[in-house]
This record gives sequence, C-alpha cells and structure tokens, in this order.
Amino acid sequence: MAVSPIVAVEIGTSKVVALVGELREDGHVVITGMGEAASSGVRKGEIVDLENAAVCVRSVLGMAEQSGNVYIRQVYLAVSGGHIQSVINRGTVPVLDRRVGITSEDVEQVMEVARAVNLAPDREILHTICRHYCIDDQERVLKPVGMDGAKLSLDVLVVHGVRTRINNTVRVIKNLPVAVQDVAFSGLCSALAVLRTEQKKSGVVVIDLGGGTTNYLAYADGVVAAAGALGVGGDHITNDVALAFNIPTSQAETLKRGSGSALVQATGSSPRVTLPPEVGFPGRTVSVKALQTVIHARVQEILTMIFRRLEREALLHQIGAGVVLTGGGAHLKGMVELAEQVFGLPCSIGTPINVNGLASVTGRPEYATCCGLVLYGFKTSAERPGGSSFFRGLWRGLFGRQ
Amino acid sequence: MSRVKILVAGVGSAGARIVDRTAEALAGAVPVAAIDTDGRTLAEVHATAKIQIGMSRTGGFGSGGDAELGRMAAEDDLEMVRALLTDVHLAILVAGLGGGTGSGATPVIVKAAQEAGATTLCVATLPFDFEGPQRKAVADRARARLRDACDALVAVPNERLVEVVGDRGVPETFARTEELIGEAVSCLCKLITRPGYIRLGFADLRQVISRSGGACTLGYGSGRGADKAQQALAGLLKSPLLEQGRVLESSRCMLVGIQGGADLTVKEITEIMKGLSAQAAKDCHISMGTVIEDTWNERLAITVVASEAALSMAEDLQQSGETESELDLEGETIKVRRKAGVAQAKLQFDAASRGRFKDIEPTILDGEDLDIPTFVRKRIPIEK
Repeated sequence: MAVSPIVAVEIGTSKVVALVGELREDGHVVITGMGEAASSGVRKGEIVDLENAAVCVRSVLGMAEQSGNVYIRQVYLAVSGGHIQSVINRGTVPVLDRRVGITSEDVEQVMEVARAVNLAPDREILHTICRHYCIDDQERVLKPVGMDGAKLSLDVLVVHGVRTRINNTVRVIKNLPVAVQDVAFSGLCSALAVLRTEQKKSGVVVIDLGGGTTNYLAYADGVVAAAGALGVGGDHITNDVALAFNIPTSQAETLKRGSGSALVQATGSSPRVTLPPEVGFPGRTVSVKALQTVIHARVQEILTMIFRRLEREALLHQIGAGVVLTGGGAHLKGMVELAEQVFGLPCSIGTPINVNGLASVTGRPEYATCCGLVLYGFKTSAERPGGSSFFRGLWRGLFGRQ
Repeated sequence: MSRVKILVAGVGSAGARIVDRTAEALAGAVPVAAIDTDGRTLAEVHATAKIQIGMSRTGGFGSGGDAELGRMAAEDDLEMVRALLTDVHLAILVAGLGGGTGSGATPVIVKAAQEAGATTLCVATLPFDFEGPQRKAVADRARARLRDACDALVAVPNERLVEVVGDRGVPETFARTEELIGEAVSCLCKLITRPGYIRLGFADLRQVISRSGGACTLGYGSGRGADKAQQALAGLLKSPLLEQGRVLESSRCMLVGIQGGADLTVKEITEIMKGLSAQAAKDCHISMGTVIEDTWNERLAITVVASEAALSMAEDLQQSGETESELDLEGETIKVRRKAGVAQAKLQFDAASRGRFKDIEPTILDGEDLDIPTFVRKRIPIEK
C-alpha cells in the first residue's frame, strides 16, 4: 500500500469514535476499522475530566486497532466546542516586480499577511482557508500567478478557538502512547464527508447537530464562507425534557428518541406516553404534545441562532443548495421540516457519502465528523508530503476551487 | 412638591396617541414626550415635548412598518432623546409593538434611559390577531428585546383590550383602548407624584418592578354611581386583561392604585382590597395607594400592575429588607441597588433550572444562558 492508513478520533460529548481509513489505488477512501464507546469526561464538546476521557479513548483505539488490523501510533483529532469562531481577513501586498507580473513569491507573501489576523492572545488558529484573490480592484481572481497588477489581496477565512481548550483535547491523546498528527474543526470535517462538489458550488450550509455542540459551516460559490459552533446540542434537548417533566435524564433520553419530534405534531386531545417505573422512579405518563413543545422550542432556537448568524454575514441569498443536517441530532423526527421552516430553504439529512467501507459507519449521520476527518487526513497528507512537521499549518487550495 | 422625576414617553404612532391621553389626564404634572418618525402623528398629539426622529432617513413620513428603520432612526437622533432623560428617576415608555418605530426605536430608547440611570417601565401593546403574522413576529421580537432591556415590561395584547371595551366601531375601539392604557399610565404617575392620604411611592413601584422578574400584567377596572367600588372590582376581576383573575392567583407581587373623587370612602377601599386579597395568592405582596381627583365624584377606577413571573421566597425576603428602608434619591445609588437585585434574580433562577449543566460553565450567548431550557426562558407553558 502506498499511503499508510489514517486514524481519525473524535472525542464527542456523547460518544468517542475512532475510524481507520485506507486510501485505495482508485482514489477512494475506505473505512476498514472502527471503535466506539459512550463518552465520559466531556461536556458540551469540551474536556472536563481528562483521566476518564483518556480511559475512553484508550479503549476505543484498542477496538479500532483490532477491527482495522492496524497498529495505531498517530491520529488525527477533531475539536469542537462553543468557543470556536471564524473571521474573514483580507491581506494585501504590493506586487514586487510589475514587469514580470505576480509571482508565486507574491502569493506566498500575501498568504503570510492574510494569516496574520489579530486575535485575542488566548486564541489559536485552527484553519486558515483561502477564499479568493483580488488584484487591484478585480475581485474573485482564482489563480493570480502570472497576471499583471499593482497590488494583490487575499481573503482568508480564519477558524479559531480558545488555545487552552483545544490543547486539553489534544492532551487526552498525549496521555496515551499515540501522537496527534493534526487537529481539525469538527464542522469542517462533517462538511467534507457529506457534501458533493455541486452543492459547494451552488452554496450550502452544513449543520452538525452533536450531543453537546452544534457546528455549522457554509459554502458560497465553492469556497467556505462561514464557520462556527454553538455550545448547545442534543444534551440540552434531553435536559429540557428532564426538567420539564421532572424525570431522570436517562428516561428523558428514551422519551426524546421514542416520541420526540422537532415539530409539534400531536393535536388537541393528545396521546400520552407511559414511562415504565424503575428503581428510584415511580413511572408516569407524559403528554406527547407537551414533550414535542419542549423539544420544538429548543431546536427552533438552535436553528434560528444559526440562521441569524448567516443572515448577519449576508450569506443567505448565496445558499442555493439548501441546508444539510448531519450529526446524531439529524435523527430527531421533524428535524428536516423544522429546518425548512426556519431557513426557508430545501433541507436534507447528510450521511457520509465520500467514503466507502463499513456500512454501519457510512450510512449514518452521526459518523459524519469522523469520516470527514479521515478525508481531511488524506487530503492534508497528500498536500504536504513532508509529513506532520507543519502542525496546524497553512492549508491551501483544498477548500478553494479545484 | 415631589422630588421624584418621572418622564412618560410614547414611542411610535400608537405610543404617541396613548400618551396624548395621559398628558390630558396629568395636565402638566409630569412631562410627557411623544417620539415618532411620522410628523403627522406628532402634530396631532398634545405632549409637552415632541421629538421627531429619523428625519434624514424617512423624510418625516414614518417608518412604514420597518423595525430596522425605526431602530436606526432612534440611534441617529439619540442625543435629543438623551436630553429628555437627564436626571429622570423613572421613565415610563409606552409603545405599540408590531409597527416600525414602536418596535424598533423603543429598545434603543429604553437602553438610553437605563444608561441615564432611570428605572424603566415599559408599557407595550401587542397587535391584534387580524394584523397578521408578520406584525406579530415583529412585535414578538421587539417584546423579547424589551424584556431584556427594561426593568419591567407590561405587555397588553390589543385583543384582550377589545374584550374589555366591547365591540364598537373601529375609531371608537382604538380610541377606547388608547384611553384605557393612557388612564392607567396617568394613574401610576399620579400615585407616585401626588401626596395622597394613602401614599404609594416610587420605592413601592420599584419594588414591584424588581420583584416582577421583568414581566408584568396590567389590570384596569372602573365604575360609576353608588356601587362604583363593586363595579370597578368586578370589572377588574372579570377583565380579560388579567385573564379573568387568573394572573392574580399566580402573581407574587402587585401594585394597586385606586383613583376616585373626594367621595371615596374607607369602606370602598376596604371592599376593593378584600376582593383583591381573596383572589391573590396568600403570600402575595400587595402595595396600595389612592389618588383623589376633585372632578372624579361618583367615579372610581382601579389600576393593578401584577408581576407574572414568580421569584422564590428566599429572594423576596432578601429584597424586601432592602427596599423598605428609606430611599435615597440620588440617581447613582438607585442604579447600583437595582443592579444588585437583578443579579440575585438570575442566580436563583440558574440553580433551579439548569439541570445537568448545573456545575459547569454556562453557555451565554447574547445575554441569554442557553443551558436554561428554552421553554423556561421564553415562558412557553407546558402541560405537565
């Protein structure tokens, strides 16, 4: 095999997943191994108990080694959390020698300048994604090398997060005899896994509804236009249900999955569901309508917050291909319909389509992030044959037009 | 002479028309301002100060229902509004939500009033159902912003008002609803500014405001003739404004103003207060005051401001200790105290309803703690 397999690890709020992916000669990525366990020590996508999280990851990596028949020494890691934000920055440089036109040196130079975005001292850049070049007043230039112009500008989208929190996720792995090759924003990974090129060209929003966080990423005109995360997710829905009916969290989770819906479908004299008694819980019945009202309020709020953010960035009219929902939350009934109401755009559920292999993984939205991370691993390692020395380095072209 | 400086301001056309009534009733005792983008409305009202905002953007023809335009108009001309608010202790802002100026400009003006150190009470009418979902959505958004911004928001759905005044011709219906709110607001002002026999001060109002948790309901009932007290009480309790008295049952704190002529008797007051106490929860804190108008013989009106949200007992106790003490009327002191009260309210709330997120760092976005269930924050009733 020419390229060694890539292992992707996502330490999520509800589950820890590791996937082993191999690159076949025909260019397809095949998932050959996986490990999964219920998560502990993670809240809202961030590590709160390093030790427990490490135990979890260790067992998951063990499973992945066995099923994928590999020995894992290094992994790619997905990071998430409400602290992750994005900002668009424009860098401008004068063209060095106007007689020869723009050279690759000018391009290097403008990238350096565009990357140097002013962030608060506690923040760290996760990704710098090139959007488009601009020569003098000519916007949206794709490949500037060789062109004539006095000044060259570059728009980049900088995805950044709080350094200590990113590092804490990395530290979970560092406690194990495994190295971290690179980290990537979960929302970006999900988009890589579920989107087709046509969708990116006509503009699309991917919303990954996770357990503790909701990540989103928008493409407009083939390039990433916005990215971000909210520290609110499926756990909040469960918590709302538990508080509304004063029932244990485990019961609330069952209720959410069984009778929950993002839309209030039950009418007037609504049916009730019975929760069977168990130790320390006397059992009770809950009105389906009330349950759906609680869930609807929360999900609508999450979607509306993302809608508002995209509205603020004036992106909505550039989204032709609609909204793709993924992550475990996409299983919630009525999700697509509610998203259509909120965004006024066609919505669908996205499963990892750009990978093959284990059917239990590729057909399910909750594995989108991890599958995408495998893809991310292959794409970045192909772009920098030198290996992993360029940790969190500049990442060029991958999300631009190809 | 009163040392408490009050400003009543009507924002938007509906607000301006309502304060027109208030201005009439108050006859100059309290400054009344009308703030609107539409020059015609301003020309019609009798306010002591009229401010036309957003001339440069609207050309003086109103905001055409665009709340964003209303907001920008207020921001453009905020200096003029600020000048009105200097040294004001209590700002009562009246607006009709659903249109452009009322929905857009009011939150901006409330914020300016807060910054000027005033306690802000906002009385807002919500659009009729027939005005359509668009205006309702605008109103709901404005209402949410106001609830965050001001110390207490009294929201009055127009639909309920019509039930009070009865189905009449359109001009009369509107006139009567405006009159009703205008009267209620003027009654509040009089309670505070006039030395009555049973006096209700600024401190009492402030206490209701700080205990209300931000949302209040307005009730109004009036009567004439020999059994005017009975009439007014029955009207108040049956009134859809208080949901046929249901609001009183759950309210923790209410302020009652009784307005009458020189013939108002102690017996009548006792009757009214008995009737109200019977409806209210046992531990409800009731503050009462009277206003005597010489021209109001054979006439009586009751105005009730009742809190909707119930705060915990412990907190009530903590707060009552503070507010019952003599009030220091220097702007700064008031502001500091009020802020302390708000912070307490939030802490209580957090511990009670964050569930599994109790001990971890909250997710705060745009001033809202997202770990608290959405239905709690938006006050969506859930059938248990």
